[in-house]
Formats: sequence, C-alpha cells, structure tokens
Amino acid sequence: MNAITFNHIHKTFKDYRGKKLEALHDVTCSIKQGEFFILLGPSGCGKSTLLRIASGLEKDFAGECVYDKEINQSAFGFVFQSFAILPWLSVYDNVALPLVAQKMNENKIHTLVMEELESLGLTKFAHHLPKELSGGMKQRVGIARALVIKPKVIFLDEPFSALDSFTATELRIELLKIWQERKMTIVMVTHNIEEAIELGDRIAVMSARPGKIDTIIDNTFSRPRNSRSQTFFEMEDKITELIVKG
Amino acid sequence: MILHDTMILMTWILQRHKHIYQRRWHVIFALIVIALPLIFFAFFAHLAHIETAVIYADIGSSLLRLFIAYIIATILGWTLAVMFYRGRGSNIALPAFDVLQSVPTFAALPIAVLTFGKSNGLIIFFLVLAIIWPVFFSVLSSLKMIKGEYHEAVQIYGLRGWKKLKLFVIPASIPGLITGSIVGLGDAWEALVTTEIIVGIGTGFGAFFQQFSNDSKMTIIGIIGLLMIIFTINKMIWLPLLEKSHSLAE
Repeated sequence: MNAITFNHIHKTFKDYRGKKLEALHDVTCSIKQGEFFILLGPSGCGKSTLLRIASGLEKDFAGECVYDKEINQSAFGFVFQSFAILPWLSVYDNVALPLVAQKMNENKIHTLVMEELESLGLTKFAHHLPKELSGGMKQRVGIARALVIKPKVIFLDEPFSALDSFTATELRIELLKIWQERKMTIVMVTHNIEEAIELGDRIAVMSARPGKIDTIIDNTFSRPRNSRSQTFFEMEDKITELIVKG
Repeated sequence: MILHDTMILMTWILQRHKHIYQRRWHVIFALIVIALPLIFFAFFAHLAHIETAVIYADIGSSLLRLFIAYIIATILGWTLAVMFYRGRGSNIALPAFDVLQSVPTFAALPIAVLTFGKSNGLIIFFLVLAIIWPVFFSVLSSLKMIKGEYHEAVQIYGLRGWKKLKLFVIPASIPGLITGSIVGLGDAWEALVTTEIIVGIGTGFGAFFQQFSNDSKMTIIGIIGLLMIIFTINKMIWLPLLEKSHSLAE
C-alpha cells in the first residue's frame, strides 16, 4: 500500500530577476507504507523541495500529492537540517510543542514528552536550553519532537549533514532502531550516498536542472549493512555512476 | 584589640561565605546606583534653594509621562510590527511606515496643540512618536530575522493563534523590543524635556530646566542629574534585559 503518491509534480521558482527556474519536472513516484525512502541527489536537484511538497510545507506546485486515507496530514513529523529547535524554549518545551499545538491536556503531554526524552537519552537535559546542548543533542531534540506525536510518516531533511561523522553514525543507528520498532514511513533527503545505502529500502536518485527522479533503486541489501562489504561498494559505485551521468 | 578580633572574624566569614558576600556586594552596588541620583538631586535642591520634594515631584511627573508613553508606544509599535512583518500587507505598509517615521516630530506640534491643548496628553503624544518607530523597526527586524526553519517547524506542527504568539512570536520579538526600547527611550528623554519646556506645563524636568535657564551652572548640574537617572534605568533595567534576551536568542 502506498503512503504517498506523487503524480506529475512540477514546481517552478522565480529568481530575483523574475526569471522562472524549474525546480522539479514531472516527478511521479510512490512511497510505500512503512518503508525507509531516500531522496538522493546533488545540490539543486529539488530533493528538499519534493520533501516540502510531500510534508505539506510547500503548497504552491502543479500536479498531485496523494496520501493514504489512514494518514493524518496534520500529524507529520519533520526533522530539519539545522535542527530548528526554538532557542528560547527548554528541551522539554521544544519536544512538547506539537502536542501543545494539538491542545492536549498537560498530564498527557508530560507522559508523552518524558517517554520520548527517555527514548532519545534526553531525560537529564529536559530543562536545559538548546544553547547548552551539542549539535548531536540538538538533533536528538529535533527527532524527539518529530516522534512525540506518533506520526505515521516522518520527513527528514539532511538530518545528519550538520553533525560530525561520529555523532552522525550514532544517530543513524538510533534512527534505524526507532524505525524498526515503530514501523512508520520515513522519507529522508540526503546527498550522502553511503548514508542512503545504509538506511534506505529504496533510493530515488535525482538529477538537477530541471530536478527529476532518474531512477529508483531497490536496496535489498540485508540489514545490518556493512559499509565495508563488497556489495556495499558495488551499490555505491552504481549510484555514483548514475549521479555523474545525471 | 576589639578591632583586631573583628577583622579576623570578618575575614573568616568572608572566606566561608564568599558567594553570599559577592551577592551582597551586588545588592549594595545596585542600591548605590539607585540611590545616587536621588541623593544628587537632594543636594541639588539644597544648592538651588528649592524644596527636595518639589524636585522629586518633578522627576516623578517626568518619569510617569515617560512610562505611560512607553507603554502606549510599545503596544502600538509591537502590534504593528507583528501585523506587518510578513505577508502581502508588508509591501505597502513598510514603505509607508518608513516615510512616517522620517516626518520631523515637532512639525506636528501645531496640530497636536489644537488636539490635546497644552496638557499631559500633548507631552505623552510626542513621547509616543519618539518611542514608537525605534520599537517598531527593531521588533520588525527581529521578526524578519527569524530563521525560515523555525517558521516551518511552527507551521508543520500546527502552532496557531495565541499559542503561536506566546511560544513563538513574543519570544522571537523580545531582542528587538529591548533594543528598540533603549533607542526609543534615548530619543524620548530629549523629546520629554523639549516638550515640557515648549508646553510650559510647569512640572517635570522641562519645568526645572526652564526655571534655571539663565543659570548655566545649575543647568549643567541638572543635566548631570538627568544623566544619572538615565544611567540608573539603563544599568538596572535595560542592560540586563538586553543581555538576557540575546542569550536566549542564540
């Protein structure tokens, strides 16, 4: 069953001179329920724009974005590249934000937030301000905030690109664990081929000018995936070749 | 002997409760900063052969006018900034406000005198004009500088209405509000004394400077006293708020 289907999506932007730029050209594909779907490509290929369209952040586009009936569009999780946690709110209040917006009662908010803080190892930092946290911890807060509403779909926009490689590796493992436990659909944007192979069930390889999906690769490589293995390198070469060809 | 014992005791207490005494010194410093202008003006009253109560009443009247004007200007300036920092309206509103803030305030004096008469209302009106634009433009700049991702986070999690105002817009606007208040009040002190003199209302700093307009020595001492009050307000209120607001916006 498909969670999200893109039908002939076109998106144009205007540059500062008013000239039209085609960010996405006729994108058609489906994201299955419960899968880890990756949008991979170089800068300017429209992968983040497509993610924004899917999440409902971008409403001005041509074509159609269809969701499964069971998916509540008002309960999407979204993890941002630069974390986007509000600096004046404590860790607790940042994670509680989506629940406060849903006007849930305080006791229930407390239970859900504490549960999520615990699962991301943030309990000790509940009353800290974001400026007191490292980049990795900030992104944990971003992930906890996305998970607290128990979303059916979670969107991640290059969530690990602002982190050092050790923290990124650690968080990738945790994200995989969370996904396997909670069985939700994940749509993630990245430009890191290794990350895409390590995480994704399917990888949509995109190219730029205009942004389009060139091919979707089924990543049947069994988990846990060893990034030093022959199969991994072969997959990496294949994707690199596709991207270089454009 | 007693002095020696007391010194030893004091040293021991200071060493043992260093943190408390550091805080106590802070309190004492704060009290000095607050008391200094008041003592200075009492001394000034003595020099000028006028009653201390009269001087304090003048300071009180001016501060009250300033306070009322500040509240009005802040509410108006902040509300306008929140209304127009985004959206289509801002394309028309912002140039219009820019022109309005460039209008020389005292050009409106004849109209203002006709509307308010020579009253407290007139003075407050000019103070509002002095404070509102720095507050408006600073809050506007704070709100415009909010990262796009913060807006998107708020949008995707459906924060709206009062909750959005309380958890997002108000905190994001605070650094601008503080900066705008400091700049606006700086302008307002000038407008306050000028308007009080022009209106000839008989109370406040203006009245006080008018009374000594032929005595340069007393005028200079008066200006020093006024600067001490401004320093106290800045030191005790605005600078700590500025530091706090910027540290929260990091």
